[in-house]
Amino acid sequence: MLKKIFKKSEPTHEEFRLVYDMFYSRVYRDVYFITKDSHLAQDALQETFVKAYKHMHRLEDRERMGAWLSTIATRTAIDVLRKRKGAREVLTEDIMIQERNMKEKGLDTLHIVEANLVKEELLESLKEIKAEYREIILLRYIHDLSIKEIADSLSINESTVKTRLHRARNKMKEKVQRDPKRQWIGGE
Amino acid sequence: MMNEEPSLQEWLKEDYQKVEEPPHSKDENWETIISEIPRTDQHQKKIPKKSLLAVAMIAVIVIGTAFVQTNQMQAFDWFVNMFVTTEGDKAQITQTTNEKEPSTDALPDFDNITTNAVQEENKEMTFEEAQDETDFNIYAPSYLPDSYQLESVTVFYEEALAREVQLEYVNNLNDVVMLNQTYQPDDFSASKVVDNEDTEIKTIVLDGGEARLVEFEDGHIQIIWSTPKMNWVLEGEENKEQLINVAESIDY
Repeated sequence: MLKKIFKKSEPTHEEFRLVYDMFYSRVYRDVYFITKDSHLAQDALQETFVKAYKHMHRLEDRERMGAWLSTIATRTAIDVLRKRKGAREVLTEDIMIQERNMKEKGLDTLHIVEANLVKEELLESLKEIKAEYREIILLRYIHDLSIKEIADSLSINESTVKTRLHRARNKMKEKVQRDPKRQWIGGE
Repeated sequence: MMNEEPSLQEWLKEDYQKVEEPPHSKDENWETIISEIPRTDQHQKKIPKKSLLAVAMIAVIVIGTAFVQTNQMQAFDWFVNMFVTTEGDKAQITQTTNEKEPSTDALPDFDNITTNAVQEENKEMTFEEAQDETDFNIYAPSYLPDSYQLESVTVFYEEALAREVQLEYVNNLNDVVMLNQTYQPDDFSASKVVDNEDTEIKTIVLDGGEARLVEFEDGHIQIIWSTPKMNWVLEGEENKEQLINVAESIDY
């Protein structure tokens, strides 16, 4: 259907409304994931669709429209954050090692409680993470883009993507390990 | 039991679904959006395809002839030459086995241009397995800055043949340095265009030969060079002296 929509250089409003209906929810969730604020997310949503309309003719592979919109959404959300919130972000960040450790421990009652705490802490730390790291996490873990796809979409090097992922994971790991609640429950 | 344990990805996807609704409704947001975009669905001006082609051809000719060929032709080694041509805020880096600079004042015959779909895939494996997979020797640097360790080895296949190996090193701060070596037994020519307002390209001496050092605005650095039948790219966000030391420690 998407191929049919864009025979011309720019879609009509009616055609673009179809795109809006199809991707409204995804784009809003993307920008909310970055901003964690409904007002900022709404601003970013509107800007994302305006930009998408203007640049739709540049999209080469229209089957990839979802991923394309997501990268516009994350970039726009970061811009909105910078413009209206100021740089109040705290670096925080990781995950996979924690996850692996938990799997090794098994699931007795204590660890279920601990797992819930870890989950809460990890998700909480996402809000404090640098917006650029949330962007990479969103594209990698939510939308399953490859490292190369992320690098291409954001016009950055693959190693920069990997570095951001590594740093994000480690910061989150540090935060969870430092949390006093977790130390008490874990008895370490 | 283990399968019931939520994974990180599941947690993130769950979190992704939890959103506070926007202050305005979907339709109200739509109204704001369309008020900011021009209406194009009526009397849309369509440019004939032939006119578009002519404009494109002229643009290609202008761009091609406008590229100023500077004196930056440098022999990389016995086989590979590197040229840097600049025009305005763009710089084009070309690696080629041809001895002459690529001509930019004559357009290729479009009828003779063919494109081939190349099947590519990649696989992560140990260094030893990678060596078994390839018909060329894989070299690793003997020097690495503090705490860098080999994190992964990836082999890239082109039409089922192993043509490129990527070694990824990571340090305690999770900085990444990557070394790519690409086997190039045949004649070839490859180009990349960079924005020279944000990127600085320098010629450096590497183990007696020449290499290009490309510094990107975000602190990322690439060193590009060639040896017989092999092209190399070393990159990361380490300082450039350290990266040069790493490149020079590769004992071919």
